[in-house]
Amino acid sequence: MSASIPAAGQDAYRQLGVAPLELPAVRGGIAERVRERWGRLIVVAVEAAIFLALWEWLTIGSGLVNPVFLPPPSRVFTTLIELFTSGTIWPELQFSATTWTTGFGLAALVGVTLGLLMGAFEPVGRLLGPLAWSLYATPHISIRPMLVIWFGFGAAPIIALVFVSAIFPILLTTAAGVRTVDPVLLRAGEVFGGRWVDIQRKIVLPSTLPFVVTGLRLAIPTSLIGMLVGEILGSGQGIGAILALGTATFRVDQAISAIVILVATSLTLLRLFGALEHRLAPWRHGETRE
Amino acid sequence: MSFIEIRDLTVAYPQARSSNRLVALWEVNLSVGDGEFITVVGPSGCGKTTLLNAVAGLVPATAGEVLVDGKRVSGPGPERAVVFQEYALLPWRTAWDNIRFGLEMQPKLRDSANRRIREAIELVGLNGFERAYPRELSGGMRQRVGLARALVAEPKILLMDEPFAAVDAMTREVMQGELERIVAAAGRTVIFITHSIDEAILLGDRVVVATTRPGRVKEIVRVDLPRPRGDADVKGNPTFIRTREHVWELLRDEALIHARGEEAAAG
Amino acid sequence: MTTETSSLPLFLPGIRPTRLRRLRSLIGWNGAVVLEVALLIAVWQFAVTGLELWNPRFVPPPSDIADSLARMIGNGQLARHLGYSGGNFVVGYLAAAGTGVVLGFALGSIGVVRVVLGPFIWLAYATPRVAIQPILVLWMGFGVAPKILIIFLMAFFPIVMIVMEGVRNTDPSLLRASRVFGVGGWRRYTKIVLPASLPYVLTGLRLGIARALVGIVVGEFIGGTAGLGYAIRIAGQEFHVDTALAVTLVLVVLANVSMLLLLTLKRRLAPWDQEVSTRLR
Repeated sequence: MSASIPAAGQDAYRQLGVAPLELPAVRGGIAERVRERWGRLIVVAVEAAIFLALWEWLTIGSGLVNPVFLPPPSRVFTTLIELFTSGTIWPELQFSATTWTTGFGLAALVGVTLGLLMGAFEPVGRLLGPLAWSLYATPHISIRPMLVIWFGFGAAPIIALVFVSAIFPILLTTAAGVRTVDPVLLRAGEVFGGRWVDIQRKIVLPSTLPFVVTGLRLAIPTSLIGMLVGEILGSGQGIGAILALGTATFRVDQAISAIVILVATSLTLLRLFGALEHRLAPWRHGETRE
Repeated sequence: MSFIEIRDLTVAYPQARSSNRLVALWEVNLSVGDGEFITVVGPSGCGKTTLLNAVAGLVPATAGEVLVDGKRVSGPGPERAVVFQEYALLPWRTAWDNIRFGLEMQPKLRDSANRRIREAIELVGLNGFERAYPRELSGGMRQRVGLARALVAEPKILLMDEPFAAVDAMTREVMQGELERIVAAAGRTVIFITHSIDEAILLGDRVVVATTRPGRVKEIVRVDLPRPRGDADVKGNPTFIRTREHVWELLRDEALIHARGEEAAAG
Repeated sequence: MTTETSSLPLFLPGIRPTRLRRLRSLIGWNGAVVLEVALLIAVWQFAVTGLELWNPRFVPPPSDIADSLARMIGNGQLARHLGYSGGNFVVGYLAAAGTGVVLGFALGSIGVVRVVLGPFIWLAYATPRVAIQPILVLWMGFGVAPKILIIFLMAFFPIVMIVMEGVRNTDPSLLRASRVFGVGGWRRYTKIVLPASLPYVLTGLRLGIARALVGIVVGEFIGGTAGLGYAIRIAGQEFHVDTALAVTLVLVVLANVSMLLLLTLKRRLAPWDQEVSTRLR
């Protein structure tokens, strides 16, 4: 006889002659419980505080570092706020957002399509694969000057650079995803009388979708770098422009503010796609049972 | 006092999604004599591996204790050698070096190491494969390496976790016979976990039938068959058949209880 | 990869599968790729010079690119740029490799280090180091220092992260075996954790090279006075697309050769690690 009656001690079960399925956790003292749940956060918060305090002291308090070269966090913070309140930031944010989304979206479209083709048809995969891999390894930003010649200044070369930076991870991951569809599942689909279209829809697509999302997630950092470099090197617009302007005018606080915004955006995007990945394929990131 | 004493052993694991601990074993009592071959059968997830791990000292007891030769088990050691279900071979070492791994922490045996390794290889039938890497070997061969590694330091106790699960039926029969021979020759104490009723009765002096989770001892069945059993056509022996039926009924009983329990929980 | 074709129907109406298979067995897939590249180059050449689809100043034909490349090799320009970039790369990358691997092991094995330093490393990893480059130039000027530093920073973090992941992912069944057979303490570290982490170290180093190459180009784009990246930028400014593409080609070759080198090294030193095809590393 077994039962699951938590919140009773072991002896209680013994006396009842019952074997429980679960036992309540050993409740440590308050300190231990707090440490378990919030430990990580507390450490990070304390470290952040120490870091910022040290930084502030180094630049203003002790005068060891010239605040022109490294402004204190207080300055950075106020500049950051000011960028938003004065409205300076919005057109730049909009520019960056539009260029990045356009470039990334195009890369996603083309990348996923080509990736599916590459994964599904071996000749396509074998022929395009090596090309894609060799271009993937090369630093994409090196074609930026060419893009300016071809597309002029402005948004176009940036979109192109984002496209080139993003397409390879998406392409290659999608192709790999299609190839790793379990052949047993495919055969099962055929056995149960599925037509080609049905098999694609019900077996291949759901199996490949998580890989597509992974590819998109992997493409985020490189595409943001592409956008950033494009903007720094001179479109006069976008977050990168704020960064470049800041360093050019010795307003490092402005430059750091731009970086903060960039990091925040990058993390948010990564979190978003990571969560999407988790939703679509919870079994992939699960812990293994020992 | 028996060689291995398991007294009121309870093991509970912390869980990922709940603050409660999952009970794997509840109040298990078992006495194993020196040189005995104990097999453990039971439904999946009933804690058989946990029992093995507890005796090995890989998992601490939540309550109760395990005594080996009168001493409490507090951690793993080469005198309680383990043959893992997943082989656990070092992929960057050859078969020979993997077997040597069993000896590396015992300096007293270092001098005779080469001789011992050679003997172990002979014993498990790995001749010619000493310099192969695990990735080049089949499941059965890998398991032989695992067995050789466990045997090479001449442990008093051999703990085997479904060692023949990944092996094909023919090889399995051969290895069962060889295991019986190896163990009998050196008089080792064995705790052997398996899914297969036939294997449990074939190899064991006594068969421990486990319950569904939380794991308890349902019954301990004595196997009254003469040894060696691997060579004779034992499966036709009436005692074998009777014992088999008995164990089978016990397990079916557990399966029904389990199913009823699930119904009750759902309904 | 197995030779089994994908289970999806390979349906090319008109070309019967047997003919394709015979062609394939004749030249092999590698041969086909070489053929394909040659074909593309030929088509490109013809499109620009023969059909005059584009202005050759904007889209130079392969012949022009080859000429530029030959010229640069001839007058020693390429060697100079290579030397500059290469020198910075060696210093920055080796420093990153050395410190990165050590720190990666420290983070992976010692819990205290991971808890204390972890958040900083993670934050630095999340910051696009490319964004730091303009500030570095502001601080350090136009010499080699910011360039070496950016190469170091670009390579350092992927190496640390991957090595750390490798150490933490040591196969638990191997650790259990080491406990059973009495292999503990630092011996467990040298006999099990270290060899088990080797494939990760090599993968991290490989990824580090790719990032370091980006670092070279960024460093020389923003405030550069010499080097491959600088050469591309100047060529772009002067509308010499053929030169720019030629140097880019050199970069492509460098990137692929170094990646291939490290991949081969990994396969040699750690042949047991079956790389999962979905890992883009």
